[in-house]
Amino acid sequence: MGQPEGQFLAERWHAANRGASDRAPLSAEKSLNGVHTWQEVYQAAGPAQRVELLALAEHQGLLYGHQLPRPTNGRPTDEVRQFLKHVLSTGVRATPPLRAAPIRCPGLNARQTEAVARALSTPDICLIQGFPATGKSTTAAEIVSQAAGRGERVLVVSPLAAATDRILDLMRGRESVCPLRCVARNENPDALPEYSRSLLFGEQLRRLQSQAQAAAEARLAEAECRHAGLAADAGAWPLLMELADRHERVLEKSRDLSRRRASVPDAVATIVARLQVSGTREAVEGPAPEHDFERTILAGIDCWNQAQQLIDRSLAEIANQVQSCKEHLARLTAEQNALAPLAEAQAGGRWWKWAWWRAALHGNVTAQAADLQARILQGKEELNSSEDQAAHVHSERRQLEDEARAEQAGRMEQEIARRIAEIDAQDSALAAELSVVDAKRRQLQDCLHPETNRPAPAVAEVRAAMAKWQHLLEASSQACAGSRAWAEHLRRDPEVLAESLRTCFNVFAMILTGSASDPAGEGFDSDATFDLLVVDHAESITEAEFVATARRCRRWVLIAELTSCESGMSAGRPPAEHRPDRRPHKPSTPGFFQRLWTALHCDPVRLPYVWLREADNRLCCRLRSVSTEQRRWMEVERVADFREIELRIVAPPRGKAGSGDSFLAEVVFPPTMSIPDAKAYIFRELDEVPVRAVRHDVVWHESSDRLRMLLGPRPADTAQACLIPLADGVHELIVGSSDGQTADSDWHTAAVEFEIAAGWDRARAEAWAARHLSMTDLGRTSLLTAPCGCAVGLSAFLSDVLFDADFRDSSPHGGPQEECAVEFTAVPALPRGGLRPGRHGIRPPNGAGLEIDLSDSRQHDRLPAELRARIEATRGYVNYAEAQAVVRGLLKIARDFSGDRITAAGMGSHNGDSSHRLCLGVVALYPGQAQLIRLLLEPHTTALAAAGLDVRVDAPGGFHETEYSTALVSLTRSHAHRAVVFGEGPSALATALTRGRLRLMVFGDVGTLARRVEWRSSLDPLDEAAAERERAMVAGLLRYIRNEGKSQHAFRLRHDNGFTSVAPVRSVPTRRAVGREGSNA
Amino acid sequence: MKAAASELPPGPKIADWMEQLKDRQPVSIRVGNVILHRVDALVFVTTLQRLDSLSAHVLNLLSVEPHPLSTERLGVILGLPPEVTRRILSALLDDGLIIVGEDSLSSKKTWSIPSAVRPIPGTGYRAHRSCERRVLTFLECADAARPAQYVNVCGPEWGEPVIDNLGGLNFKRADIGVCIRQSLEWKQRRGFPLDIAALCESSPRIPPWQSVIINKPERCRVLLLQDTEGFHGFALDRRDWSLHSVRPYFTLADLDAVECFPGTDSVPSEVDWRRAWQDWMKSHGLFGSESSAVRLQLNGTRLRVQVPETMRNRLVELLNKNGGWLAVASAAFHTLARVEIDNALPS
Repeated sequence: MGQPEGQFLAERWHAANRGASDRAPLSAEKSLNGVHTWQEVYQAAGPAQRVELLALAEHQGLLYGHQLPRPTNGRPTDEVRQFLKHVLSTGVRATPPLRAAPIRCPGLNARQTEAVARALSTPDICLIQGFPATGKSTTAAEIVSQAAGRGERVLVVSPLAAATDRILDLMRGRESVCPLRCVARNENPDALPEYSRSLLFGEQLRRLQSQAQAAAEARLAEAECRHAGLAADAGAWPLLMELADRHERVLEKSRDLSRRRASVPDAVATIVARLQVSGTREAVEGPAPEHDFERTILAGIDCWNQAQQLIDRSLAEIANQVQSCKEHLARLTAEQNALAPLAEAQAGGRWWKWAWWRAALHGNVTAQAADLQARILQGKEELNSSEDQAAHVHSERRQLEDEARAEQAGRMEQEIARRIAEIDAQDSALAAELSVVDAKRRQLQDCLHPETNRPAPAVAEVRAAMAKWQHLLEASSQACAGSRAWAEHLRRDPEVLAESLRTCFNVFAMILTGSASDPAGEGFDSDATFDLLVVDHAESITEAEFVATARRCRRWVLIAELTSCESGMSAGRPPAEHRPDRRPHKPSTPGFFQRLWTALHCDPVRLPYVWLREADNRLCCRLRSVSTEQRRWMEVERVADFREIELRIVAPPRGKAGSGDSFLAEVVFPPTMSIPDAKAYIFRELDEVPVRAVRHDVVWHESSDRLRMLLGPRPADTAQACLIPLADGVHELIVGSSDGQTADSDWHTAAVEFEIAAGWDRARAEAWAARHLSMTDLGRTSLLTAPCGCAVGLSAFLSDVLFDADFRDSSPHGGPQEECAVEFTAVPALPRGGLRPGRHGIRPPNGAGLEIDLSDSRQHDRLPAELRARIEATRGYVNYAEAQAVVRGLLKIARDFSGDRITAAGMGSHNGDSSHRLCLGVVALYPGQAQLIRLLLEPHTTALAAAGLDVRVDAPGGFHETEYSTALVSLTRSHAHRAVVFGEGPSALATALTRGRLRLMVFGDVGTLARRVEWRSSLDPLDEAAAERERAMVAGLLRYIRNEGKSQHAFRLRHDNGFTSVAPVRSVPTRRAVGREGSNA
Repeated sequence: MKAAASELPPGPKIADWMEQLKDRQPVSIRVGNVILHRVDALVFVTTLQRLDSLSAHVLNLLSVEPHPLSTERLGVILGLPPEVTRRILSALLDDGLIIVGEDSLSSKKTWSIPSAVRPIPGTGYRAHRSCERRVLTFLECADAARPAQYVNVCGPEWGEPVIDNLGGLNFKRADIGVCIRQSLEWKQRRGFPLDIAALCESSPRIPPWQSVIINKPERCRVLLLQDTEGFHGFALDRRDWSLHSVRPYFTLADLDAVECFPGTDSVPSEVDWRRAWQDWMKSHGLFGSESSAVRLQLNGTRLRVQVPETMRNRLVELLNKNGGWLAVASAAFHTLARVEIDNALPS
């Protein structure tokens, strides 16, 4: 009694299921091996065991209990740690290769799209690494959006709040994403960007509550209004019904009149016929009809009857006369016939005949005969006369008959016309009545609710419309009740939406706090599990931090910025073994991400093959790395059938612990042997392809006739390329050694090509590469090397200087074409002509020594007194002259901008800018320099603001996840005589150089740059790898200063003697090149 | 027809069972070995969940609207941001509570309630589908041509694992699907869980390893007791024939028992009992014409025997010593009957 229907249903449902489940323990939780579930067993199994188990299950359709591996005793190992342990210990063997299905990512370049595809298809882990400004955050946002679109719950974490917020911002407006920004305990919600703050649970709930409350009230008002409108129709229905009834009755009468009108001729004819039959009789037997028409008809009939009687009598008399004439003639004819023989005998005188005698007895027979003849003629005339008279009377009778009939027809027509006129009059009256009824009906219908059906004027129709109206009324009543209940619900319990809102989120973003138990803000369920974990800036997290978060997620995507720990990533240059001046260095310990990357990423540069010329000019191919200790055990053998070829085999003494087995380490060829011949020999004899790769990832390129596994930049000139045949339809394309004679660092393997005509496809080619190059791409890593969203010229410059990649504009929209996207201002100014090699000799000038080390108080005197006190608190180096140059540059931009000589668009503004404001980022490599520039700008703040410039000055660390359309970089360092590092390391330098989207202005001392390039070893505080990477960047920049850059057209060298002109800007940036200026973009 | 000695329980043990199960009125008792498949599989389970207020309101709204509503319109009515509206609709769509259509003019998605679901919104509950692993028990059918039969076994493992001749087992993955497709009445009779909606196959959301089915076949010794309610299966220890529990591990209606254990619908004939009797007599050294000069009459679980007076005393002594139980093999089971010596035949 009184039990809610829902509760009853639920209880019934559970009771029905309980009936079965009470009798049997159906949960599979402790079902296998007594204590371990299948999940525990599977997760405890190693990768190889897992593969075996799945293969067996597929083969048998199921697995049998005894076929399961026995898990280790005790608590099952943590799945995440187990997986990481396998990956980090067994590397590429840990996980089976994966081929991601191609997907479409509008707005992303090919590398980013590939990264998204891999991240979405991985069953376990995917690593994405890239240089600054290669679109990692964009890629992360795309991964999250697409995963959310597939119905997955995604957790986005980053040690940097700005990175998390950037990803959220990039997903703004995506239909599939319903994000929640969770706040950690140590995070200040007020410090979040506006958009991220709006995604906090409290904010969203508050917004939702107010909007829902307003909508509910509005809906209630609307529903009540609608219901009232519909209910008001109730009184109209009886009237409409009555009118419909009247309408139908009038129509029926009208139809009856029509029928009567149609039957009038027949009715009149029937009357006439009846009168003709009965009228004559009644004329004799009964009274005359009362109606005029009938009386007239009867009179006509009587008249006709009388005339007919007279004529008939006359005809009878004439007939008698004719009869008597005929009889008289017959008698005369008989007499004549009797006299005729007598007269003939008499006339013939045949006295001997009896007839003569008889004639003689009769007297004058001849006369008698003549008399008879005359009488016959007379009789005939009389007969003819009588017959003529009879014909005449007949004719008269017909004439009279026709006249009588015509008269009757005329009377009938008159009668018909009269009767039809009478019906028409009635019909007109009905039509008038109908129009009155219809007018009333229309008037009523006009007053009905717009949703109510307007019925046709028929009772059935009105009844049907009324039924529909009742249904509508009922529905509106329900809607009203529902709206009222909902509005009341919201008024009474504002928290009612919290539960619903929690279930809506599918993307949870937070900073990585290092502890999974740290409540990351309201709305976040600490026990929640996720389908996908996306970790941005994974290079900064530890394994413990990762494990704490990853154990609640099914799949993981780690995105990291390329750091100095990834040694040798400066592609295009030979690996470390090639450097002649190797010195012991202190290698930095690779972080958690880098260890994973090393284990999972297929990096061709890490292949052990090394080609070098020995002192005696022999060509040496090193197949395996040989340690110093192993080199002591190296034995030399000569090839029996080719004595000039020398095999160097490492043969450790037997019993030596940890020494391993013997292996062929090097093959040495005679000086005359070319590289192609040597390579062909090694492949033929050893089944190996000792490539010299310069790419750090494997990229497959498919054309109509061949598949290419790209291992280095393609040759600009085919004359530099050489194809070395390997297997059937397989060639190695090397570049820079067309004659095959050079064996030093100036050649590389561009690709291994597979001819499709020879039957090669991707799978077969990959298998071939795995066998002959020991390279297997697990499909779980992606390396982003192409600048993303920059102007074409700037992209080309950055690609050359930072990434050293083979830049091709792969952005879907293409960047704006700017003539000079990069400007370098030399401080101090260079002599006119710059540093062209061969002019002043190769050696560049020394550094100008303009830098001031803030840690050395003795140097502070070189700063103006008014600035000194305000600078001392900061750290690092300052360069007063360079700071002044930067300020001059900014003021010049301000003048040009305010004077409309350049536009915001021209300076690289984008959607975020108005045409009156321009945001610029000034990146100084040291906080002290940033502070100095700020101080120097202070007097000009008003002028800059008035000119429409918003300038932000900071060190590289302050520009994470922030990009500007135009960036000014102050390199700061200007040492007089030695090589120095630029900033905190190569990452900071890369960050500084990549903050501009469309335009980059660099300020620096060319002499210091040149000195830095000359130094090829570790440089305090950088380890060797980081120092090399920084050196490569500086060298790249110096190439452009020397006018030797690959994309020199995008570069302009300026001198710090004031801006004499502003670089012409010829294009308007496209949307692609646009970020959100001056904020977390 | 003759069972090996080791396949038969000793008489005193049977007497123990009967003592333990004396509250039941057995019509027949059988013992035998069966192969039980304990199948651990990932299945879709449908449960009723309470709808949150907003979802219930959305359903209510859609149910009273004369026309399907677009996402945008619904968002406006509810005052919700588009992403929240979409997520709520998506969840309701996943649960099958709403259907998606397309507006013919604007080509926008529209949402409405399928007629089959219309009564649900008022209840505030929704059928929620989730994945979980369940253990289902199947009996290997003696007839190899027939699929394994589901039987609702309520008890721990008690048999010995089958690890050889796995190819001879006839449980197939499809047998689970056959059960799922059975009628509600069948499921209730057999005790098959009603909330299991389907077998989970691997999909983008379900990794292949999760959908792997684990089968643990075990050879079990069973006492099958028939009474007026049907057939009850009791677990017997493989080593000493002792009864695991006086509670049956499974119960089958007569109809189901015939499907699971063909032959249980008939009892051994008098000829079979006579042959078994003679074998028993021989095994106890009773030969000659006297042994065949007996009258047998089966009455439930009792076999009344009339023997010549000369044999009576000896037989009574033997029966008292051995418990006096006779077994006749039929199909996979041995039917047991307690021998009772009736009035002696005249010598």
